[in-house]
Amino acid sequence: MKKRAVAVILILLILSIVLPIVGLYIGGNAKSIDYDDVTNFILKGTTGDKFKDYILKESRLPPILGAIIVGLSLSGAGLMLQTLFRNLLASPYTTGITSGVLLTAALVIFIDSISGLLDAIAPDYTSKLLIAGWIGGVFAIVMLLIIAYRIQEANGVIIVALLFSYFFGGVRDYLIANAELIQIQEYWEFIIGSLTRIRMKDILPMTVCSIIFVIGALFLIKSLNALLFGEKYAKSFGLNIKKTRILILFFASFITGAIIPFTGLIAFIGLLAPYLARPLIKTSDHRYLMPTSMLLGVVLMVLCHIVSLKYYVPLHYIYGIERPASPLPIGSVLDILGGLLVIYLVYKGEKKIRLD
Amino acid sequence: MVSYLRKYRAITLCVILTALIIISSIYSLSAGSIKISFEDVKKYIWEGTTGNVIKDKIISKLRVLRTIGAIIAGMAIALAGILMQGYFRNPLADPYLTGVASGASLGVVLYIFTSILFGFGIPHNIWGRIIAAYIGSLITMFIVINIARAVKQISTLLICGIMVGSIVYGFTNVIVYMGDYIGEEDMSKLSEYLMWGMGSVSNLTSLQIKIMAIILIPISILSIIFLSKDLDANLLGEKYAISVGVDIKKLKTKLILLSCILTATVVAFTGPIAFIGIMCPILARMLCGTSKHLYVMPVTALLGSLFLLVADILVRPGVVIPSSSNVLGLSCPLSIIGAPIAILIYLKIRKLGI
Repeated sequence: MKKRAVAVILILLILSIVLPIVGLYIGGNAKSIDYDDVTNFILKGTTGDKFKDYILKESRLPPILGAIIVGLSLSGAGLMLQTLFRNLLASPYTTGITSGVLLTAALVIFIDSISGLLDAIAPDYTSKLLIAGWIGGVFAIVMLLIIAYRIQEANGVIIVALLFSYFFGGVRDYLIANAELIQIQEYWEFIIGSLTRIRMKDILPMTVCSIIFVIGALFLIKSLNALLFGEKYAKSFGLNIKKTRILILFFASFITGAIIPFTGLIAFIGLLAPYLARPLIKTSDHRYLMPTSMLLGVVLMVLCHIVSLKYYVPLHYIYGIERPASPLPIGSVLDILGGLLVIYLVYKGEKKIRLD
Repeated sequence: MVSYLRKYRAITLCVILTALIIISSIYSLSAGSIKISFEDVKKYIWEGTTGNVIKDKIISKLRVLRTIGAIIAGMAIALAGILMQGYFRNPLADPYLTGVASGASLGVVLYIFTSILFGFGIPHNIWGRIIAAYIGSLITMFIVINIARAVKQISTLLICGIMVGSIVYGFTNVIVYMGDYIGEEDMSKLSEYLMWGMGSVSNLTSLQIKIMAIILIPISILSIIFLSKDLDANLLGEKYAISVGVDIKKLKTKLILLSCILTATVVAFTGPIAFIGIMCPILARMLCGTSKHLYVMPVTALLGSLFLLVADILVRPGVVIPSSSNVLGLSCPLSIIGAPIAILIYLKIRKLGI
């Protein structure tokens, strides 16, 4: 059992190093850059041409780094929430955290007067976004706790959270429509979720936050394992359940609030990766499950990114057009995949949905 | 004696609601990014012209179509909601949340996908769109019914419906972005699906409205007349319904077919319209003070029309949002009003014992 898990983790680790490099090679439409340039860029750090360097650094690298960070942290957060709620359908999106973050982030991005309010606390735009994201995350968590306290049904929390995200979405749309001079393209990419929004200067804060999150997740592994066996066992194990719950919710909203403002709505990765990880390693011990689902999240995100860049390839054969299209927002690919998975999970019968 | 009071109450409600619909449709003719004064609207209604060619065109080509479309669509969706609630015997069942409306849109989206994007020679016209919507909604309905048999919790069913919605959303976005690839002339065709995906009555043509009216109005009136007694019996339990002589299997098939037709016909042209089917029946029951379908159903239909009309007025540029802004989808006002009501219904569902 353990050997299998270690082997799977190793394979995923290799994949999550190889795939980003592949993505760097084929992940763009600039014709001036050939494979040798990318090789030079990876090995020596420069292609020798200022312009090509700029394209690689500013347009190809950030989405791939972003995909790695998003996959790593959102799928980790998803796994934590699934163990906490004892429900396979829990993830940052289905518990409403993402929508809360998106609401506050949209306010800062699209409405000048609200972003002016944060001038006193935050020195620059990036930190403003981060603060707004965290405020939204905390707000959503408080909502979630109020709901969860009142509901006994297993999936009740999730349906109410989804309904809340409709409400948040409505408020967000109204406020954005009030803003002046918005670019419809920018707005849509933000609402759908797109990795091409990420700029190089956003990568640093995202990386720092995700490193903090990964360290926190490592510390929580023991408590998560204890939670898995039920609350009574966890208590006898000497675990402070209240503290653990609050810590899990805190970390989940911390990382969601740090990532979503930069990418827009990325929905289902926190649900897909842990679900696919369980049958791969055939254990629910979080010591193995946590790294597996994190790495699987990375692999999935990078794969989805490559698909969303190259989706027009089959159309070439039908139309014979040699013109590249604008990249698909990654959120739409994830929406289709994740929606199908959830329906399958429900269809399989909720009696079979268990954590072990 | 009490039943007489209820009858008068329902009739008064209908009269009040009709009056409200007329008032708001007159307002709807005047409101928008270009304001037309009430004097002009009055003139247009009585004399057939405002005296100004441009204003005439705005009213006849845009505002009238929008208003009539909203009235018909709201009525149909609200009635579909009450039929579906009768089928599932649950106040949370609604064409949108159970996924039937999303299934219809998935059908339409896939039809557009194949007819515009790939040159397979499939014709692209209104009838194809309606048929695709019917097929999509029926398939989703059967999936939903099968899930409902296996699952006891309504929440699981609703999650499924919402997920169908998110799949549709993903596909719609893929189509819009592919339109960018296909080229200029098709782009204009595809870009309207952005608005369609959020729910909108602004792009309706007169042919579409004629089709909607011909299909929807007779079905609505006939279902109010013929189904209300059976629905009353069904509300008290299947066994009771059988004992008073209702053919329960036939009734259920009718309910499925009718609610699918009502939903799909609307969704094919306006896009998914959320939460109307959940709000209106509940409000109608509260207003009427009874669950008797003969009274509740007409009130529900009128409430649906009123709600959608008001929502359509609210999303126009120049009414609440500034006139420079891009057009807002109907999903915005409807989910701001509807989602809290749905949450309240869900949280109190056990206390109310509905």
